[in-house]
Amino acid sequence: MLRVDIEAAGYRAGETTLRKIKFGGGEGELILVGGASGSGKTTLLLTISGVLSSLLGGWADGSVLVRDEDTLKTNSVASRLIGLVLQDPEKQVLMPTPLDEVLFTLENLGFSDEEALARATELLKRFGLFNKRLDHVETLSGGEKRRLSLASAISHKPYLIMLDEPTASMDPWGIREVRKFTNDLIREGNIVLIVEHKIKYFLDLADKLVLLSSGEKIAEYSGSELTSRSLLEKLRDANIDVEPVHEVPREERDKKRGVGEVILTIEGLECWHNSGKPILKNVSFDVRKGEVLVLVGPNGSGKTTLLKTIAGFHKGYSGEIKLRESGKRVFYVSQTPDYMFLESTVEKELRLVSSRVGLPLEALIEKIPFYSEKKNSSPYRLSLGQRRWLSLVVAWAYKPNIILLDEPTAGLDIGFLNNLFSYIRSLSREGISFIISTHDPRVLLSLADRSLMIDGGRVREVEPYKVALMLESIAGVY
Amino acid sequence: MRLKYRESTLFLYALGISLIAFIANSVESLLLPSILNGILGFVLGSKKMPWKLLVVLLLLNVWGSFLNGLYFHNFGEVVVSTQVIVIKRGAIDSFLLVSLRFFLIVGATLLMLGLVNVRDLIKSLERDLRIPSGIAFSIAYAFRLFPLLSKDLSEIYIARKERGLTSVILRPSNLRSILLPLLNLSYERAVWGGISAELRGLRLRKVSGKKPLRLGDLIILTALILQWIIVFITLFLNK
Repeated sequence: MLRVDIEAAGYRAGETTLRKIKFGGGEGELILVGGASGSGKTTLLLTISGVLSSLLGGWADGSVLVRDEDTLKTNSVASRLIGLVLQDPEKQVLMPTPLDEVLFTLENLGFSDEEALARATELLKRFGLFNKRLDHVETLSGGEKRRLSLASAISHKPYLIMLDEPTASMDPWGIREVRKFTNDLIREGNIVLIVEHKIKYFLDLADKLVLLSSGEKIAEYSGSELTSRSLLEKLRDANIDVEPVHEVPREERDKKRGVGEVILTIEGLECWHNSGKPILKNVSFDVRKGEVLVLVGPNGSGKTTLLKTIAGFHKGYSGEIKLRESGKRVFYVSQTPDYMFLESTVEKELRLVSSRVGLPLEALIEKIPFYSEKKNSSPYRLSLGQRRWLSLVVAWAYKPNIILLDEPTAGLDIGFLNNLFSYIRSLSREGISFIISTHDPRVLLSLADRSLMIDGGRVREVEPYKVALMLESIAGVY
Repeated sequence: MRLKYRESTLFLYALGISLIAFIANSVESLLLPSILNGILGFVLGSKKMPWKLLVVLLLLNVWGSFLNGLYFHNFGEVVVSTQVIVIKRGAIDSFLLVSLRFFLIVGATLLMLGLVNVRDLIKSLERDLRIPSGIAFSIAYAFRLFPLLSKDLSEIYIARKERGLTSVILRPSNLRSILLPLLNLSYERAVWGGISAELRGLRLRKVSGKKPLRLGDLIILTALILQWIIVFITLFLNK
């Protein structure tokens, strides 16, 4: 049994981030917590696990009963009763090999060497990582790291398993795995709590939906309510990502735009890793002025390599990359916007851009809706959406013909996503072309003029709507 | 037969060698331990750490210590004089001192990291030296961070090239703008790493009984003592 009754909680004394959050759940249930970015979802997980007050110097009033133990009162119970899967496996994985990673939790919790090894072996086999148990974790693919983070979170058989935004940066195959993992946990009688703004991926499995806004619980739904038409409409109106692709109004997805002449031609491109292992074979396509071309494919299929090759940063390739216009032609924006920033405040960052590209500072400020509020903040302390926005403005300032975006929507809620889409559309109307690598069906639906599917090293053109449907079907949304 | 030793002995060795860097204040006294540990450390460490990162670290240090010497210690007799730059004895001495100290500390650390398994190191530090779990874990977490730092660095270089900035650190401001994203990302990782460790029961770890000293431990400790003796003799002779 889980009983959450948080009166108030915060990261610093006198600063309240969460207030009046009350809900509960029983064994074999999935509780889904939804809400926009900044609504307090991750803080809720940190509070329930006791970490907010025991490690982060925060505070929490109220109680969180997990199998009758109050995690707000006793520090030591949480790690035995709770398994937490963080949003980013890179941040969760602590040890250099998969075997060490799983054994670390078990050793901490006092399992004997024999039992720990037996459990670790069983889990690594279950998650398909046994053959890689002694490899360095950095040699694992994104999907394998995700599976490792799931394995290590449940190695001690916790009673409550919490997942923080498990679909962020994940391809539909990965989402399907997480759904299966969640289903298995529910069937085994665990309580599962998932915080997620793309709630459509778990709504059919959930027993309860708790909605947060500005740190407060604004609604709770359960049972048959969760699949009712009226709830879905209510959630859609509240800007919550609940809508499967096939339910998006047709007029939105059928819009066709005019694009200009060909500005990039790729002919017979082959790419390989440093080890000589091939990644892409015989890739040919072109990009037109103002066009938005979307690349889809599983994690590790070579989308990022293709973008980096076009940008000139991946040297292991043969074939032709022909740009038809002179000047600064392509600009690559990484999935992690933080790499792009060089200064300690947003204002200094923009001044640096302005001095390098010769654009007036005001022209840059104009492009940043949150400038006056955040000009003295460090770029690294902005929200993820704001960081992505800033990195895109930096890219735009260099006046490229083509902007290459790697997973630009990962971790964004639907509100920020729609703003970002509008911004990209306005830039494409100015004549800037985009090549976007993504797993997100929403990008295909709202932005793509054309889309390419990369699989098994080959590239083929696919119709954006059909591939969006396919991605959601693989993920198991319908 | 494989030489057996306690991981904590290697930690003590790395610590003892690093202390030399703080005590020895002449190029002569630092020379031998720095070269020995530097070469061994970089060779053994490169098996587990990304060698590109090691090279970048090395270059960063060489350039940083040269700039430091030039800005703050450029006095004494003139060694190099051109129209652009005048380098004096003080700058050279300072550059060598800082570089050798860096080589010594990083070399000894890499030597340790290259020869131990991270979980065994945590256990050994807790068991043999009674170091608290949190501190033992932080030391061992470096294993995980090194490859991530390397990945970050190559992404930062890509972003710099896109923005028309050089990756060669010619000015302190370049060094700052490379370190800024690197440190911010590392800080964020460290916070989440701490949360992950806390929730996986780091606080609840129990310490098992001590392991006896073995031949490998004695050899490592003897190597440490010998290097200390060499340093003291050199310091004494220089007085």
